[in-house]
Amino acid sequence: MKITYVHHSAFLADLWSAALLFDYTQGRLPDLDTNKPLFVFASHRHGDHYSDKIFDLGNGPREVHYVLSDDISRKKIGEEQSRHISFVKPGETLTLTYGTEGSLALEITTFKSTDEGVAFLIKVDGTVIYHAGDLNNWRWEGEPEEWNRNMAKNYSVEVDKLAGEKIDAAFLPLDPRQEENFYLGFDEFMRKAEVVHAFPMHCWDDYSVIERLKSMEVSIPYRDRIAMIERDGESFVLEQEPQIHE
Amino acid sequence: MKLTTKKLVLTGLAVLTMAAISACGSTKTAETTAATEVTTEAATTEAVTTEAATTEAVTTEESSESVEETTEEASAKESSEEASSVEATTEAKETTKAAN
Repeated sequence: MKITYVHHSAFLADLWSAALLFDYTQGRLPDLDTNKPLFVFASHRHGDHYSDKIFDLGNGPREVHYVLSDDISRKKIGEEQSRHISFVKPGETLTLTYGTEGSLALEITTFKSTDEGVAFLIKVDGTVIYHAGDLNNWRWEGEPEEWNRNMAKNYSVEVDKLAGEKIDAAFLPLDPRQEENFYLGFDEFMRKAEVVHAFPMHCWDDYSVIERLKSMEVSIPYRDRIAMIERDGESFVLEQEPQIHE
Repeated sequence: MKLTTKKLVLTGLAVLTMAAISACGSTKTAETTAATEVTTEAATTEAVTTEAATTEAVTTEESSESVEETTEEASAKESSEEASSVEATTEAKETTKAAN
């Protein structure tokens, strides 16, 4: 599986039978095999996660299907485009079958974001991929403690659903704007789920937070599984059966 | 995130005070415009949820690659003769509600 970091929270996962594109708003996409379908995901309506540019991807010869959070407005989506869109709410499981005579399946489970929309857990080609969207522990200094406690609780409720789940690639927010709290959501997820490769996102082009987390004692159990992202367009080839390093 | 309060004047009829909440703190960046637009649209309450509950199942035999959508809410399915090659199954499970 090849993972390309496109920009901000946008990632492309190129698998054997399909390609998955998450939260694309801008940036250069690598060339893809046009014989494989492209599944385009948008976790929620915010401008740093969704742009109607994604519908340009459906203009070529490649088959494209969209999985959009239900909070994204349908008003600017044409009827023709709508036929290729599945809208999802939190707490749903959507199975897309494709390929010759529907012999292939892509299973999508959604989780409720602590911000807007959903997070995605996808199972395809024997691989499990998680994209958090903006599901994170959004603890902010200056917010009432009750708000922050509620945020943490709501985050834990969702992440607990993935406790023990083996995830081959997880795309998780690591936001420097949260200052000392930047690692909380990422850390909790890594401790509860069994993540083989973790890709930080939502870094607002400040990738120093990745090294910062790796240098912290809390990340000892999982720092070797955190991908070092340094720029847009960077690609990572993941092994078929990677090992979890304790 | 910072809780921001925005005052909007709609069509000169009234002054509405809307609280725009974005937990991820994105309201202060370029995406503020998008959030504002959607906030306005949300006030008009489109029947999105109803549509989402009636997920159609579209089958095609024309394309060599057809994506099929399956939903547990089978009674609400609609069939179509259109050449959409995407089909999906949706199981609507419980929806968790945030206490915030």
